[in-house]
Amino acid sequence: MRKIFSDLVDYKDLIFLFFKRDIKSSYQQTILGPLWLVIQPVFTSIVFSVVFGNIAKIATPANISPFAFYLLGLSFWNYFADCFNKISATFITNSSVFGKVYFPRLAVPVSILLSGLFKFSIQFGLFLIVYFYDIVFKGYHAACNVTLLFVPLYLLLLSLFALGLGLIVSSFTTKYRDLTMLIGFGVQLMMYATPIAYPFFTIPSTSVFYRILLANPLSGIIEAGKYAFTSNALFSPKLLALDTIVIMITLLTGMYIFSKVEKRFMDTV
Amino acid sequence: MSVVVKAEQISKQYKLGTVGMSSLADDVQRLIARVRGKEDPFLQTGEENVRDKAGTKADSRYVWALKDVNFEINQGDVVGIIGKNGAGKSTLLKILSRVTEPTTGKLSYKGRLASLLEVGTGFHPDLSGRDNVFLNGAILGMKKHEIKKRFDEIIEFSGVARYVDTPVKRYSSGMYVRLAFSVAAHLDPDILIIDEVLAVGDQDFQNKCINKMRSVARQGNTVIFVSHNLPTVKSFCTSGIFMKHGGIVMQSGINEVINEYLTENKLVAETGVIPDDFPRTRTEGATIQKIFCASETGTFCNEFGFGDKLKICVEFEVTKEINPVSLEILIGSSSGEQFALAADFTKQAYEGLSGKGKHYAEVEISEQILPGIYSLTVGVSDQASGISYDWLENVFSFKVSNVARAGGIDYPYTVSHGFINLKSKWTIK
Repeated sequence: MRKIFSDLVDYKDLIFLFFKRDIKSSYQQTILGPLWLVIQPVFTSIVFSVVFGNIAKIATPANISPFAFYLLGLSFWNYFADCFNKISATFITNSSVFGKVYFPRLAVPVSILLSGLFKFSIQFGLFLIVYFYDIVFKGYHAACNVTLLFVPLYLLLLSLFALGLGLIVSSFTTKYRDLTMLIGFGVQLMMYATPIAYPFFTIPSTSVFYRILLANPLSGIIEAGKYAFTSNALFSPKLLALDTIVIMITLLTGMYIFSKVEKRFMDTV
Repeated sequence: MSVVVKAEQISKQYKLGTVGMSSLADDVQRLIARVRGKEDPFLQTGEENVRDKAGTKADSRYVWALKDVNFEINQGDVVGIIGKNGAGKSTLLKILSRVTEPTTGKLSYKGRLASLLEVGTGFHPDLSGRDNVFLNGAILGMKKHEIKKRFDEIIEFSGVARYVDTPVKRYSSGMYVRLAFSVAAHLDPDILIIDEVLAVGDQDFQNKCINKMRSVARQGNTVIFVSHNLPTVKSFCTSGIFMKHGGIVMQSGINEVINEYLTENKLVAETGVIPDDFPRTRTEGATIQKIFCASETGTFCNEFGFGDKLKICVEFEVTKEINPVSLEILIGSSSGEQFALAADFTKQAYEGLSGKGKHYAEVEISEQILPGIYSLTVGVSDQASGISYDWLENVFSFKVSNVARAGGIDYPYTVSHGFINLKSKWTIK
């Protein structure tokens, strides 16, 4: 374990350069550039407002505008989903480089987390703008509370979970590609098993779905993130502690499998 | 001299065919064996890696690309690895550069190791030359400040200074490899592993690269180099490893290894009979069965004195009605270049060679061949279309010493100047 970290520190320049490459190359030859990062959650939030708010009439907390509510959930969700998707494909998308040169393979997933954080900070920035605009001009009550201080911790948990799950999936797809198929639509479906498009409290506690939501480690974290800004969401330290344990187990499993696979994956990928 | 690379009993097994249900079944068997504390059942099976032969054992889905390879490389050695396609050279390089792990065995090394199995690994087409130099350098194991320090040198060496801020996808392919190689050339590792990447760019740039590599080697760094280009290997390396069918045939000084490589077909060298499995380019119609050198009297001979008359005898069989054929014999030097051709271009030259049945041809060489080890390449081809019925490269080798037979004149120098003493007429005024 210590060796893994010292290797990564040794290659920190490479991690940073990968990060730079991802950011630079994503928006080459586009006119709007990183603005696309803003456009995507704006449109998704509008669609959510229409479908979930107006048609399905699912109420959002009263102390925040529906638009800001969706934006907040989406910026967390996009961060997780984006990192998870990309890390899952680590071995397959990088096989040509991995096949020619040795460097700690973990450098790629770590750089993916970094570029994910960059995208998150833009989308989260957009949320903050809307949030303050609502308070100043639309008369919403500033409902944030002291748990705001924990938001970086929630992000860390999301990162580690995306990393752990991604490592497991990418390790299992080096020989048999079946999981790639599952991930393709699985991540999309997973969003509905996470309280993003609806508040957690709209789900009756007697339903099976309620238990599924609680079993999903993302629910507790994202709800806590929403609580920090609305004071009206699930905030349960006990659940968070449980989620942390699940995430740490996932991460350790992922890193273990990844370290086993990385040595020989070139033979089968 | 300290040992910097050590390979102990390295083996690498590969599975043939596609990944699917059958490989899943094998994996399950492996897992069961492991749970029961037994050895991997598939390590017992597997055949020697002979590319052009179908498997013979009952279970030949597995082949050994490398089998029990042992060697040591000392600091400062420039080692050339030679062998035919499929001998296991690239697999060995992959293991040396830690891209993959051997199935069994152990590899250890000392110092910073960099491998160049390809030029421009990780180049991103959308990024500028500048960004790619940093990215590629970091992938190859350099630190950012090291690249910064050498950046100007790298650009200067590549000769693409003008394009440094243009995305590399706009580069010509020559510029691309020039830039990519320049990064690699400034790596400065303790152990450098190179796979045939020197064959890039124009002649000018190739020479530049080889000189750069030489200077890397002179600084006491270790270089491991794989190439089919024997002249480059010979001029660049100090020692060599000769591989065949996944094993090491010989590790020694580069000249000995190259000679061994060229005279490898012992059977041919001793009798002139060509074995069935000799690699050849062939179309049905005619098969060369025997090739050997003979002395003036017509007896088999593979060691000649200086100035001896040399005969080359070829036996071949025509198996079906074919157009008139022509016979070509080439003489190659020990570094692999073919420098002389014996052929008759007149229409009538090989009359009578095309009928069904066995044929025998004898060629007398009257030029004086200088001392050295040579190899013969022979081909039978269709006179009109030039399609070869049978073509055998470096099939028979012979030696010419610098001592002449009684009554002749010895070759006066210790080093051969060229290959042939031309029949020349001198007029001195």
